[in-house]
Order: sequence, then structure tokens, then C-alpha cells
Amino acid sequence: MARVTFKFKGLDAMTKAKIVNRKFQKKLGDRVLKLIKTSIAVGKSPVKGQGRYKAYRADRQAAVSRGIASKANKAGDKGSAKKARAAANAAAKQKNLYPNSVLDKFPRKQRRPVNLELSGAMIKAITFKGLKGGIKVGLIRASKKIKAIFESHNEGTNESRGVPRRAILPTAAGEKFNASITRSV
Amino acid sequence: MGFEVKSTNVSGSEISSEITIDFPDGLTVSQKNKIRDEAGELLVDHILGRVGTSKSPFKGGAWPALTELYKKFKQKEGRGGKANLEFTGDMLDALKFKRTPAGVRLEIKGKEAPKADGHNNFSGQSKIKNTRQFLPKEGDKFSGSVKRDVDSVIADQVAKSSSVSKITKSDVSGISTKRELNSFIRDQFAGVELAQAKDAILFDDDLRTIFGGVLGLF
Repeated sequence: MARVTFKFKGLDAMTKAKIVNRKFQKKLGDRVLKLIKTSIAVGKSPVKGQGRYKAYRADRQAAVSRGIASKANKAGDKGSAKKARAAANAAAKQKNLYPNSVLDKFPRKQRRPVNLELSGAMIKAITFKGLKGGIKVGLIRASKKIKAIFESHNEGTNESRGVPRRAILPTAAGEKFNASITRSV
Repeated sequence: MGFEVKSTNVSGSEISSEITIDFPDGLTVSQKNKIRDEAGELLVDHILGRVGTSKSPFKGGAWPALTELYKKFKQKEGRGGKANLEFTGDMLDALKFKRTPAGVRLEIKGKEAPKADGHNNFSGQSKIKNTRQFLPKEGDKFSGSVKRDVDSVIADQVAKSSSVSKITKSDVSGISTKRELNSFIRDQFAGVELAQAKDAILFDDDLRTIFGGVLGLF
């Protein structure tokens, strides 16, 4: 299921000490959501160890050609380097590669940063809910379509079709939020 | 307490900042490595987060906007119009941290290093008119909460150290005021900021149980 339960440790003792209440949970939830969405917006996974999101396909293709150009340059083969740079530019704009393939419908979609945002529906659907012992963060009231898009990114369910995993929430066993989010909370 | 930038290094294939961490006494090698790893991750995260929003990672606020000409070009290429040091993304992807004996090193190695120096100008030879420094130099102070977060990382390891692990409920039972509590925590967590020491107690299951009777004084 596309959700993760994030528990704020120490909540039980703090509840008894009357430090934690609904207001506190809302503040915590709002803070966590802001950190997650800010991280994604600049192309960085909120999940520990995942780093920056891999480039979209058009750029990945272009990167291969840039690598070839770099090697050719080092070898002193200026002609091949020039050809490879031209190939890189062409690849970056290839119509059938994402996100060029969606520009007709979404002309404002940028290649960088890799922010997982097209219509914005998936990012908007990430929310939180207070529960006993903590808060729960994820797609709590989202449509099947949005959940499928989320899973495709978060779990890499389309890796076999060349769409790399881009972790949004720490749903895999043992995963955690990155240090900035954990510490800020 | 915490950390500071000790030195920088630049060559044709590397640009780096050496950060020393103020390790409190009594920590094991493994604890120091945990601090290095988490502090390094925090610093890289902070830099990427600030750069992504066109802000300097250090005291000093927003960077100058892109020139109109370059902004139009960048937007036409599908890279947005922000001064976020991201075109192909290769340079920021290359930003890493490594453990060092004194702390951590933030570095960019390989073919992205000259590009990074263009922005940071550690060499003094950058031809970029409006440099946008994102790696720290000696004397630079990080903006935002990153200092507090690194202190918190250190406090967590102190909480697990052999001296703090000897605290028992009876040591805490006589505490009845906030002042007494703060004084006690400062003694036990020497070298750690009070706020971070308290967080470390709250995040540690055993310590939270030991301090359970005085949590209301936190």
C-alpha cells in the first residue's frame, strides 16, 4: 500500500506529560510535509541514501553522448568529440523521450530539476494524519491512478521499462527519511 | 562545539572543503564515524537544498538572479529560470562527502571540479562574473538549522557513551526544578548544547524511561 507510517518517538511519555496534543501533531505533520515537498521540488529524495533523483530519460541519453565526447576530447579526437556533443544536444531534445514526449500537453514541464511534477496531482496528494503514538504520512486519500503513479516512482515498478526508482517516502523495509528531515523533526 | 571549516583545496580534478568536527571526549571510533557520516549527509543535504532554491548555504541570503539573456536560454533548454546551478545536473550529482580523521571533507572530483571552481572560485581564477559559492571556505558560517542538527547528531552519540549510560533513575529522582534538571544534563553531557542534549534524551528509549518522571520539566 502506498503509505508510510512515521512515528515520532517518545510520544507516549510526552503525551502523559501533556506536551503532545492534536496541535502538536498538526505542527509536526505540517513540518514533515513541507520538508518532504521542498526536498522533492529541488530534485532530492527525502529518503536516506537515495541522494538526488536520476535524470529524466532524454537527459540520461544525452549524458551517454556527453561521456563519449569527454573521452574523445581526452584522446585528442576533436572531430568525434564534436559529433558526440551534437548527438548529446539532439538526444536531449528527442521527441519520444521523457519529458519531451509530454511537452505538447504540459509545455511548462522542465528537464531540470527532476521534481516528479507534471500536473502536480501526485505531490498534492501526499498528506498526513494524526494517530496514537505518532503521525502517518503518505497517500491517505488518493485515487488508484495517483497511487499507481506514486508507486511507479517510489517503488520503481517501471524499472524494467527504463523508469528508475525515485524514492519519495521510506516505504521499503529498513528505510528512513534522510538526516535533514529526521533531525528537523 | 560543533564543526568548522578548516581549509579548502582546489586542483584540476578536485575541489574540496575540510570540515573539522569537535568530538567530545569519551566517544568510541564507531561513534565518531556515525557522527561523521550523519554530519556529512546533513551538510550535503543542506547545500543541495539551499542551492535548489537559489540561496547561499551560508549567511548571506539569496544569490543574484540570472541575467535575462542566460535565463531565456536556460528556460528554452528546459532547465527553468532559477539561479540554482543546475543545467545538466552533473556538477551537483558529483557533490559528496568523505570521512577524514578530523571530521569530513565535502568534495567534487573529476571533470565537474573545474566547473565547481568556476562557481566557488577557490582558485581565484574563475571567469564567472557573479560567482555563487556553494562549498564552504574558512570562516564561512552555515545558515539555517544545520549547526543545530549537527550538534544534535553529536548529542545522540554522547547519549550512548559509557558515562551517560551509567545514569540511573535514582540519579534523577531528586530533581524537582527545571534549573536542577538543566544543571544535571549539562554535567552529564559535557561539550553538548543543552537543547540538543535534551533532544538526545527524548530520542533514546532507555534515557527517556530514566528521565520519565521529570519529562514535565523539559
